[in-house]
Amino acid sequence: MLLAIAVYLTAHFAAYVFVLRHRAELRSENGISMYHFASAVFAGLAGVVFAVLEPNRFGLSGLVLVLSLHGIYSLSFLELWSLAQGGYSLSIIASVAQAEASGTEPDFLALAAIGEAKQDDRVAALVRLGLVSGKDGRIALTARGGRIAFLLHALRRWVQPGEARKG
Amino acid sequence: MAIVLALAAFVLAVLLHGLAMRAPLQLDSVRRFMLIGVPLGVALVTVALARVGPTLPGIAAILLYALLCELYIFLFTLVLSSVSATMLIMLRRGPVQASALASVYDPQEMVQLRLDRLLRNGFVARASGRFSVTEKGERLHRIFTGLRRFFGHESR
Repeated sequence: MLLAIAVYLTAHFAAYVFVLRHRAELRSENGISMYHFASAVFAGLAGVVFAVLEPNRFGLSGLVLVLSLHGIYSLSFLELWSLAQGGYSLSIIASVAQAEASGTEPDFLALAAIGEAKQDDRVAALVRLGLVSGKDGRIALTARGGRIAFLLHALRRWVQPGEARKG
Repeated sequence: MAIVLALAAFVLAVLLHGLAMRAPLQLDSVRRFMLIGVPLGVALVTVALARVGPTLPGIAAILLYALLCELYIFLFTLVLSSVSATMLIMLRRGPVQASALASVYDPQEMVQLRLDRLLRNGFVARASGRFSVTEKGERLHRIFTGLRRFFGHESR
């Protein structure tokens, strides 16, 4: 079983490396997320079928194994993809390296300007995800956004107790 | 049984991480979690292998623990550093003007914050007022330049 899922994930990765990474659709956040999400759903469904057909040899443990392995692979892949796409710290290192090579000062103002331009994109992305809505220039949480914000706030209070009363 | 053990180990790791975040340690949040998560993971592997051996349930439990830890690290680093997450938390107080929301994010402050972190962690150095990339920073830069090329981010 472990071998079957390892072969499946290797094939999924190989398809991306040798064929799909050159396609424009998989260079967008939505495209690459869908590529992994669809595969996880497929693997999950296959796992459920096997768990039902082979409850003793495969069962719940087999399903957990399939989903965990796919989860580790997809989460690691998407984190790297996202970091490589737009890590702010990496842009700063690149800016310092560039300035060093040309004997000039790093242009941090240009980096700040890029960040400023991203601000509108962030609000638009939150609207698109249905987490906030805008009306008459005012932004508010939707019901779904409220639930997510509650969880985020609880987690922040847990890992950053000094900031517990903010937000 | 092994899966329940993995879930219990993960819950314990999260609880201990919460305590570690309240302790006066000179470590960042990820290292504090590793300090707890790794030994607990080793203990889980030992117990799982001793009880059920390298069987499907044993391997599934170990992988489940690894996935949950990775997901937890991803989520708490997101909550601590994401501007969008900060915006959502801020909006819990009630609706705000779009301009007020923009104040959550001061681009120059954000650059300064990241730069300070890079200096502190030895990726960038500063001598006589001039910045330079350290060997560690160069290595990271090389790796991510390769990754950008690999993922096709550069040609967009």
